[in-house]
This record gives sequence, C-alpha cells and structure tokens, in this order.
Amino acid sequence: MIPFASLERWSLAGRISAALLGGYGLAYGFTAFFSVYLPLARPDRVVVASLSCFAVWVAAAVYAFAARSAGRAWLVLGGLALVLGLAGFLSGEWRTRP
Amino acid sequence: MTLRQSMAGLHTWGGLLPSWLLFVILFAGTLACFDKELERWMRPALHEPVAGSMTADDVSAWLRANVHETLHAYWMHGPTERAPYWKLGWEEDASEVRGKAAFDPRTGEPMPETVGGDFFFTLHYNLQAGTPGMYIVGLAGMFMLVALVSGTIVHRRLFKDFFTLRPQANGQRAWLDAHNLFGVIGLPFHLVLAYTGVAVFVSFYMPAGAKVAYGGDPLAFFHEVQGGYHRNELDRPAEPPVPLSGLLADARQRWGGAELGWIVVEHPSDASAVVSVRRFDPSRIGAPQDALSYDATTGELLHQQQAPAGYRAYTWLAGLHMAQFGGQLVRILYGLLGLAGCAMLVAGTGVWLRKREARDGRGVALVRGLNGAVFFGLPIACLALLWANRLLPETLSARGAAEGWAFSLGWMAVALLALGWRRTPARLTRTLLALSALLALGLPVLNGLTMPDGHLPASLARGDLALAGVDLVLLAVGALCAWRAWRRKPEPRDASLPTEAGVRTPELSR
Amino acid sequence: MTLLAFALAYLAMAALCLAMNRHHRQLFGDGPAPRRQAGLRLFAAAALLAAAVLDSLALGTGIGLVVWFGQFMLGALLVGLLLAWRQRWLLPVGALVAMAGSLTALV
Repeated sequence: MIPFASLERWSLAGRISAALLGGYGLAYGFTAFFSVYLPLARPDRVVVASLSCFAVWVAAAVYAFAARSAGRAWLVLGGLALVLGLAGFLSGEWRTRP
Repeated sequence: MTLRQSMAGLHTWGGLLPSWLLFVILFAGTLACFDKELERWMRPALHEPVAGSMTADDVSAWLRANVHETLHAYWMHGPTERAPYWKLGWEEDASEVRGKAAFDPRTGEPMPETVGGDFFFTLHYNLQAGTPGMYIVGLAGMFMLVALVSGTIVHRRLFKDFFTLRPQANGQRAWLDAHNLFGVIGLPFHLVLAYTGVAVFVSFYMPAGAKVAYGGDPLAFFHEVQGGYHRNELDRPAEPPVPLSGLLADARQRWGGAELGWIVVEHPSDASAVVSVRRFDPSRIGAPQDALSYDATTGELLHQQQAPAGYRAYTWLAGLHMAQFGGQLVRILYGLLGLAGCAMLVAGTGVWLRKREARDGRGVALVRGLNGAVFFGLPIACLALLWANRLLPETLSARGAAEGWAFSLGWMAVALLALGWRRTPARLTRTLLALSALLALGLPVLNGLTMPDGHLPASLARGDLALAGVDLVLLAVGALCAWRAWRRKPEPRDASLPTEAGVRTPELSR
Repeated sequence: MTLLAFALAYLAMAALCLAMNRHHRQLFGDGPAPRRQAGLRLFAAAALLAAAVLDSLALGTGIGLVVWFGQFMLGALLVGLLLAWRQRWLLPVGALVAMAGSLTALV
C-alpha cells in the first residue's frame, strides 16, 4: 500500500479527523438547514433531513480522503457545516413553523 | 495521488480496523433474523405448541401480585405464531429499574429465566453495552457505508469480475476474488441494511432536527413526528382500571379483526393512566402506525395515532431492516445474505493478511490472532450459550446472567487460544474448526437426551420446522466444520516453531 | 411461485454469466458467438422481469420486490460459487431448480 506510507503522518490525522468530525459537523449542519428550509410540514422536514444526513456524512468522509489536502478538506467541510448550521439555527421564529 | 489510490487507502484501513466489530454486528444480526425461533428452542415449555388460555388481564394481575413498586409503565405482547406466549416488561417509576417475564402458556406462571433469542438481537444493536454500545454500533455502520462506497470506487472491474472466484489461484488473488464476489453481488443488501441500520436510531445519532425545529424539546418532537398520544401525570391515585380484554376487543373490532401487537400501559397507578394498543401486521414492510389510546379507568377511546408521511417513511426503512414481514422466506433470504456479508469481512481480512505475510509485515500476527479470536470466538461463544441454556438447572437464580457468563467465558477462552497460537494459524484453525464441530453436533444430541418434546425426531414428526430448523442448521454447520477440519492438512513441521520468519500457510488459501 | 421466481433469477444470472467471454470459455471451451451472447442477455432480462412479476403476484409489490432483490443476489452468489468449485453443475442445478419451481407453482 503506497498511499498512506507516502502521506505525512499528521496530514493523515487531518483527513481522519475531517472525515469523522468535519463529516459529522456537515451532516449536523445539513440536517439543521433542511429541517428548516424544506417546503414540507415540520415533522416531515425534520424526518427527511435527518434520514438523509448519513449519506451526507458518507460523501463527506469520502471527500476528506479525495481532497487535495487535509487543510482543504477541513476548510470545505467545516465551512459548509458552519454556513448550513448558522442558516438553520439563525432563522428566527421561522424554524419552528408547523 | 489519484482518487483510486486514496480510496484504496481509505478502503484498506477504514475497512480493516472495524472489520471484527462489524463481524460481531453482522453475525449477531444474522442470528437475530431467527431470534424468535431460537427463543422457542431455548424455552422447553414452548417446544410442544399449546393454545394457552391466558389473557392480558391475567398478565396484569400477575404484575400487580408480584411487583409492588410504583410503575412508570408496563407493556405486554400476546402469543403469535412465532412466539406463542405472553411476554411482559415493566419499568419502575423512581429507580427506572426494568423487569421482564415470559409466561408458560400451560400454567400461566413465568418460565425459567433465559436470555433467549433476544440476546442476539441486543448484541446486534448495542453489543450488550447499553447506550454507549448503540453509538459504537452506529459508528461501525458509518464505517461500513464508507468502506462499501470506497470499495466500489476502488474496484477496477466491477462487472467484468462479477462472477469470478478462483480458489486455486495464489492466496491473495483467491481472497480478493472472494471478497469481491460476496461484496459486489451482495452490495445492494449490504448498502441498504447498513443505511437502514443507522437510520433506525437516527433520533439519537442526529439530534439537529429536533434541536432546530422543536427547540430541543424531545417530548414535543416525538409527539408531533409520531403523531402519537401522551398524557401527563395528574398526581392523583388511579381508580380501579377497566379490564384490558374489553379494550382489546374494541381495538380488534375497529381494525376489522386484525392481530394485536404491543399493549402499553403508562403510569398505571396514576389517574392519568393510558392504555395504548398497537396493531401487528406482518404482511407489510413498515409496522402500521395507527395505535389506539384508551383511558385506563373509563375505557374511553382518547386518540388514534395519525403518523405523518415522514414518520411512515421512517418506519418503512426500519421495517426493511428488521425483516418482520413476508414470513420465513424473507428471513431466510436476509440470513443467507447476512452470511454473505460475514464472508465478505472474513475474505477482506484475508486479502490484507496474504498481501503482507509474504514479507512478514507489521501487525500480521495481531490480525491473525484477532481473526481467530473473533471469527471463531463469536460463533463458538454462541454455541456455548446454547449449551449453557440446556445444561443449567431450571431452578438456578440469575439463570440468564449465568448463560451470559458461558457466552463471555467461551469467547474469552477462544480469544486466549487464538492470541497464544497466532504464529501457528493452521493448527489454530484446525483446532477451532474441530471444536466448533463438536459443539454444534453435540447440541442436537444433548437436545435429544434432555428434551422429550423438543428433540429433532419429535419436532420433525409434528412438522414443526421452526423448531427443527435450529437443530438442522446446527447439524449442517457442525458437519461442515468437521469436514473442513478433517480435510485441512496438519501443520507443516517447521511452521509450528515460533519463529519470526514468515509462516507460509498455503492450505489456508484453499 | 417464489421458488419458480428464484429459479428464473438463478437462470438469468447463469445466462448473464455465460454471456461473458471468460465464463463461457470455462464451460464450453470458447467464447460465445455474438448472437448467442445477445440471446443470453435478452433471456436474462426477460427472466429477471418474469421473476419480479411472479414475486409481486405472490407477495404484493413491496415485499415481492424485496424478495426479488434477495433472490437475484443469492442466485448470482450460487452461480459464482458453483462456477468456482462445481462448474459442471451450473446448468443441471438450474434445470433442477426450474423443475422444482414449476412443480410447486402448479400444485
């Protein structure tokens, strides 16, 4: 196996943490965002968003290892998670509409 | 580094590290397909089918007579075709201690304690380790999904090698073929089961939706998402309740004679007590979500559950995972495909090992030891559990815990042997195969000697295939293990020396 | 009916397998002629479709399709395993399952 032998040890740690934590963070932000903005009734919004979140996490984990560098993986996953999460949680009264 | 290279690294390590844990989950899940059949096998009182006369009110009466603490709730399930007895569970109010009982349909008294087929189900979803175990299983499920996706990207000839298995090829090639065959052909099953598996506990794994849309109020969340009913305690003692049988008859009539599922009584000693009745319908994938809730004191119908579309989709996914629909045909299909998943994991570690043991890479001995400890340890521990179930006296107190100890000690013994003999893998495999054969073939014999109604000739004569099936599968597995142990050549002389030099075991690859 | 569906799924997988150069050569010594290859693939598609219809008729569309998926995966696995260890049995097993399936469907 050449791939990991040639990687810097802590670049590898960066990718693993991006896949686990960054990936979960993105899934969390994704769920929060779509639990608010999907054009469905509240219980359906939440369920649809929550059920899809695992696919987002898997895609994020794969991306964390496909990205050009660990830093870039963290930047993209963390940035997206932050934007989606903030847009979800800072939507005021609207987020709890029925 | 190309995409394929980085995915290869991800697949190799992200697949190898959780593979023993995943084996435990997949193997236990495969057994859990037949939890109710195993439960019947483990409870001699259920061997000969009888139509009991016990009612839900008898079960409540037993609970009132034997448990004196204030209860938060209790729940019960009546006899079904696969589980022909009443089962009861309860939770005490202050201590949150839970209890359970299963009733002998002949006498109406609790049967001798056993962990039952439920043991494998619990092992499957939380490793018998409570909430932390459930999170570990969830994470393992995510690793499995990532390994499946990265494995598909890595595979160069997904369709060209679809049917290819060359057992005569050199070690690594043969293991890779096997890993691909079981992985690729079973891919739809593995993907769907891994995804629906993590989805079952989605509300624990992903609380973001409840947090953002319900302000983090779990009660409001579950209430609205499930379309269920809940009544807060009034802190007044309850009047005498109406008999359950009347409520059950009413529910049955409203559903046009349907079978009933779980019956739940919430805070039974408070004036707010509610009886909820669920419908049992194995002819559909998702369990029906139209529970009826009655006032326990007046018997008045308070509410019928109206689940929103999203929740019905969720129960459909969960139902797809749990295989409680479509009869034994579906469970047999799931069981065989689950075994294919186990084979995929075993072959995957085989590829890793063959690639490295030629140059005696680091960790070879450890992986080999873990393989023996888990791939043999778990099945042998399960057999030890069944042996304990037959040998422990029925009057033993904490009999279930003793069965659990038999499981754990059996596993530990195999693990110690596997780690001790990790440098002589051929001898280890041969010994463990022989031990598995002995334990598996011995069980139907033991069953024949101790169980007048449960032994194989008796169950076959009744046409009771569900019960006979357990013995038949044990016989088949035992015969297979015996055959493999016998066919396997004894250890080459030089390999039994504990040298650091690479131990080549060509016969393992066959 | 579901056994017949399984037989069709197995035969479909066997046909797809024999439409491939490597496996056709394994059994018959040379690669399949183009027309035979197309015929095998056409048969496989028709058999899979028929299996899906049979399962749906027997068990309803939802459960029928789940069973169909399981059957075609297990059929493919059986083809792969037979090809590895008992390749001469590939077609006889197909005939046997098809006969058993037809019998149970008729009775």
